[in-house]
Amino acid sequence: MKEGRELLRQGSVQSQEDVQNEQGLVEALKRGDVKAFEAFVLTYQHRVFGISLRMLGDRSEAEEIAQEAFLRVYRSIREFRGESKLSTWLYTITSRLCLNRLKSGERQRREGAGVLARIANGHPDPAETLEESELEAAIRQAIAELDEDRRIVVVLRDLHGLSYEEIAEALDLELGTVRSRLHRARMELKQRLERFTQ
Amino acid sequence: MNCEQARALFPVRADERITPEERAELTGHLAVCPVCPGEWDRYLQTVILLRSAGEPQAPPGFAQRVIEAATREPWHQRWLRAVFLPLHIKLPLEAVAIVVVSTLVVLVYRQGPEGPRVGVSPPSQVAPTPAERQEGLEQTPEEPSASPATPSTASPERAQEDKDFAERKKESNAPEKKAERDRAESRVPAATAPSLSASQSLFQVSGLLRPKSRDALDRQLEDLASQVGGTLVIETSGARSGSVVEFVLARDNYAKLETGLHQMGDFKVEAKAPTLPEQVRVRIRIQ
Repeated sequence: MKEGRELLRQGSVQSQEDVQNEQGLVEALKRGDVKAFEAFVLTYQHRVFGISLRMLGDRSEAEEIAQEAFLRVYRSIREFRGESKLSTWLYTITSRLCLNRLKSGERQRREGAGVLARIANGHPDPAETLEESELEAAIRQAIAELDEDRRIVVVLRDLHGLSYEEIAEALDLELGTVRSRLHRARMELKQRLERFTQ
Repeated sequence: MNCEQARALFPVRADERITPEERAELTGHLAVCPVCPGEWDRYLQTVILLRSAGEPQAPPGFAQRVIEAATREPWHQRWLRAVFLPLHIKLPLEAVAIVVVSTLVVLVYRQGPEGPRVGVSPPSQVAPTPAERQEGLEQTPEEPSASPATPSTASPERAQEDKDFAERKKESNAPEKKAERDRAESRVPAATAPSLSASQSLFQVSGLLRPKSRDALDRQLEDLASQVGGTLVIETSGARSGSVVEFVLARDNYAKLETGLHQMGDFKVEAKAPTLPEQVRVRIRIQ
């Protein structure tokens, strides 16, 4: 339980050093410093890819979206005014790309080819399935079955640790909406994962 | 507090965003409700479960592919970035550079030796005075179609002769040219110019023509040259006020030329050799 409480405290509090580091990173990115961009990608690649994969359920599609998110940051960094954290901006771009992809015609055509079936069956990638535990597979499947508006909230909050405020900003939602969507998503997940929580 | 109200507080309780009052109410409800403690426990376990899930790893080489894609920016975007960004620095510099280059181009064009006339002047043409040159420079860009003054009737032998004549004149008549320039600049009447006698050595007749019609002057001069069977040398930009035209013709036809010039306007002979050679050179200033 103690471990659980520590996990619950994970959040997005930024120390003074973090702020200074981020300012330095933003300045370097604005100068077009490729090394800084490389460091930025290496730091966030797993998170961005993770959000995309949790949302889309397809590795190649997730990679495509994650790459596009980084490229957008690289090309639009001069428009970033520092009103939020750089990482929040990155998650905002990623979330919107994912939601747009889920609503797009391209996505629906791909779904016809079996993406949905893979998500529902919990087998996004045969090679990966071998290494995946039963619990991991159940979590992935349960998340994939959520409505996409609830899915993105729970992915950002519980799987990637964004604060309510960051989620509200990334998805352009009211705090109350974030809270209610998160609650409904968790209640659904509680039912689907019941056998692991008893 | 009922069960529904208590469960609505689960997310804020799980995320440590609950107020002390809400916490007290929830704790109170959980202490007496037979169902909600179990629900809360499973809710909390679910959240812990989700947060303990491993983060998917990006595929190997993902970062490298992203960096390559970023640096493989389309050429036009690279070009625009290089030329204009950062705007607040490069735009003013570029504006200054454009002004400087434009100014230099104008200065070089205006001060260049003979400038745009080089290559279009007929070999026999008299070198223009500064006033004429200035006029020519101003008009040349606007009148690109102005035809060279070499008359179509001139034979190759005659053209060569004119060329030789002009070269001789250039070599021997520097004082005359200077005097002509001074005259043009100071608007001193040609009749009072001290160099008149010098010009007589090259031109047997010098005169001043105030034409009736300036528009038709070029054509009238050419017609006249044709009538007297002579050669006409005229400015590249056409005969007009301040320019000089030359006729080369047979002595027998000189009278006809003079009559024709009188018909074209007010013509005054300023100087004339006592005896005319077989081939007469006539210099006429247009006013």
